[in-house]
Amino acid sequence: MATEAEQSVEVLTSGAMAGIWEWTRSQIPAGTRIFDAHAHIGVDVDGRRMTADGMRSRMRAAGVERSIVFPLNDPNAREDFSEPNDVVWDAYERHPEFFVPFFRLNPHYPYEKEFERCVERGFAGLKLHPVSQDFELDDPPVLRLFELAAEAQLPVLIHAGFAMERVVEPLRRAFERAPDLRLIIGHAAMVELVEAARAFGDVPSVIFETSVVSAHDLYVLFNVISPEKVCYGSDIPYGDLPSTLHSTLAAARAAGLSDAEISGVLCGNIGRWLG
Amino acid sequence: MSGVSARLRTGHLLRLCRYLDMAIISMWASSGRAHRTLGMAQACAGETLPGGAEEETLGKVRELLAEAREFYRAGDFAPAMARMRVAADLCSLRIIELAGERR
Ligand SMILES: [Zn+2]
Repeated sequence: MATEAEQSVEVLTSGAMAGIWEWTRSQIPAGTRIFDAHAHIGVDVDGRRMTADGMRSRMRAAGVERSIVFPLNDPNAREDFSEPNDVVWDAYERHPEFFVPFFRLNPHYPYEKEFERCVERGFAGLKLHPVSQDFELDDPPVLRLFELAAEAQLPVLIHAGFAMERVVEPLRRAFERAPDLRLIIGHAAMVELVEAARAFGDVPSVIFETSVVSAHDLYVLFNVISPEKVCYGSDIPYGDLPSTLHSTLAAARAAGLSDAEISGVLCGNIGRWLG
Repeated sequence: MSGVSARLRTGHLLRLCRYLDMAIISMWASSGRAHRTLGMAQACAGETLPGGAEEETLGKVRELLAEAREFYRAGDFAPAMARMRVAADLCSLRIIELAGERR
């Protein structure tokens, strides 16, 4: 009998999605080991949830090899996110070859202890969500956190998508404070995508991530930035693998990317950061 | 190619894109009107242009929307939203493609 997760994948690749999925698969260059740079494991205050096993089944069904995973806006986060961070770590320990664990923090509260605990534990990066935790990217405690991350050589993935207004200007300040910061711009800076590409397109330690960004936004992105600066993401459970792979591939093909460039977007570009 | 200008095709697809966006936003916002905005998008997608222009795109969008509506009605958000996203992407990328055509 099919598991719940297998059924979830089945409904995303059958019916009217069957032809879409077939086209999407046909556009993935041979030998590409897809790396999803944005996925969540845990529970959200809005009721959405994803388990480690659910994530693994979805990856297997869609042919995704590795995923960066981090907590949702968890109702059990309290001040330091330690509980949801533990859930992500457990998922990683059960599937170390498939998951790359990032931890999450709330800059409104003292974060030094949890930051240190997670770095010592071996988390590979940090996720920050300015909308859910209600802060600006250039608030003093956030700038300090960027500095700490840069010192620890820890990549930071920021939500820079839906409901974000200010992205570029506060990030300029972040780079003034922490020039070595390795930054994954989640959702490709959405409303400020062109300006962000202009500001950070040549910064080697910045990469734009594509999850749940419309194909026409991605078409523009691929035309204003080198494809090497872009990596694929799904934002599971808000996005899904088939429809986000479709938008990334359809936009990439429309923008005339080569197979090698597309392969980079799907795995090589983020793979170079995280080994 | 039928005799329908790229401008008219684009104009029609822009209408559809707008209704798709409305439906997507109301679905995310769990608006009580979401099923109605989905119905609006479906009605617009159901229209045909003279000479059957853009039927390749419109046909796919129709199928996706019909299924999205069923999933949404059944409370199955993820498969509904996946179909809405793909429909909107097909529509907007086709508009971009048409921007390069003269007819
Ligand atoms: Zn996310």
